[in-house]
Amino acid sequence: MSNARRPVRRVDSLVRLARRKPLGAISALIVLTLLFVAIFADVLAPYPYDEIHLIDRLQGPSAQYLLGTDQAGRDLLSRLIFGARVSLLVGLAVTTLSVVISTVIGGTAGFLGGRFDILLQRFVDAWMAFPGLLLLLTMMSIVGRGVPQIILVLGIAGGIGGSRVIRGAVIGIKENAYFQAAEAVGASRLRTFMRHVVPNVLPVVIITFSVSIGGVVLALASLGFLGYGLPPGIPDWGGLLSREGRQYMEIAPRLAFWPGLCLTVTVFSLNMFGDAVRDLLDPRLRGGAGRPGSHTA
Amino acid sequence: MGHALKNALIPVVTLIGLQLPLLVGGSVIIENIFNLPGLGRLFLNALNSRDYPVVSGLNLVFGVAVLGSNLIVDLIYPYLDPRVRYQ
Repeated sequence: MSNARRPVRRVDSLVRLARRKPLGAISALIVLTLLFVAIFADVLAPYPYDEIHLIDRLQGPSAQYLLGTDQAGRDLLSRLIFGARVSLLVGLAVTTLSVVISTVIGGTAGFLGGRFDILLQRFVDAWMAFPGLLLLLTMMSIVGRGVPQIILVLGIAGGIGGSRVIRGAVIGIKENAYFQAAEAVGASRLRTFMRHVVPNVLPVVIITFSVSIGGVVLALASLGFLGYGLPPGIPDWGGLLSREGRQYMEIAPRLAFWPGLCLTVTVFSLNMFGDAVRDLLDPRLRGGAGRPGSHTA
Repeated sequence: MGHALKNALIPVVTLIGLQLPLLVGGSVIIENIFNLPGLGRLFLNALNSRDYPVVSGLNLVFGVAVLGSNLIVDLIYPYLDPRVRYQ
């Protein structure tokens, strides 16, 4: 493949992708729009998210406030736009942290094997025996509320659970002939790890990343709903839904409706996007087209 | 009935075992929305009042419940599929 032809091919493959995975392509578009909104929140939002207009409390939608205002006269649209930034920032940070943790745990456990693996897996077993949300709530109540805390707690919790997937993939790679051949010719452990395990486990890592980000946004909202999410000053969607939304649900249902819609659409498109990425990276798991294994790649 | 249902039940039983932790998490949220006096509400109230003995006790209860349900699921397998044998 020459360099000159590369961009054309890329566009080609994008068109093919959109035709084969319309849902994935639409989701990718929504995710990109969200990213755009999150990055340019300062420019896009008509008001600062914490600007109070006491005269215009609990106003309905109007030309001045497109989605209306909450009980302190803050513009709902602006809060939602800044909420996108918070939710995506925390979501990305948590997923990155948890993927790093699960790769380190799963990679070393699967690669080294033996007693080290058994010991580590019993720890992971014990961790997974507790219902996820209870563990999250307990940890959050210990470390307190805050953005770094929530990233740490969600990242660690997700990373330990996700390490199983990586470990399984690494053990699978070790069974391959090329790996055994590398060992047979005397390649060092570090070399076999870097040259054979890391590149082959990378698709699995990317898949774990893209599939788990929707769940993280949802977990963040659940925690916020129960009062253990982000601090009250920060406008995240879960907080908007549970604080203003629930309190004023009967007189101003839109305060609950719009954050809820944002969450639903975001989590749905992140999940669909993750599924599409998984299908493209792992030819054995072509969703929808047929059963796993019925396709020859 | 005797042939199809029994074999079809295997993934269903697995799923039931996997659902329990999610169910507990959901109960915490539902009980707080509708003010139901259940374990989930007790858990959150204990957390809010920094009552850590109750918190760790409830974590133990739910942990044992999850492990127990997984054990029951594993014990049902040999009945559904005679090829599965435990020593």
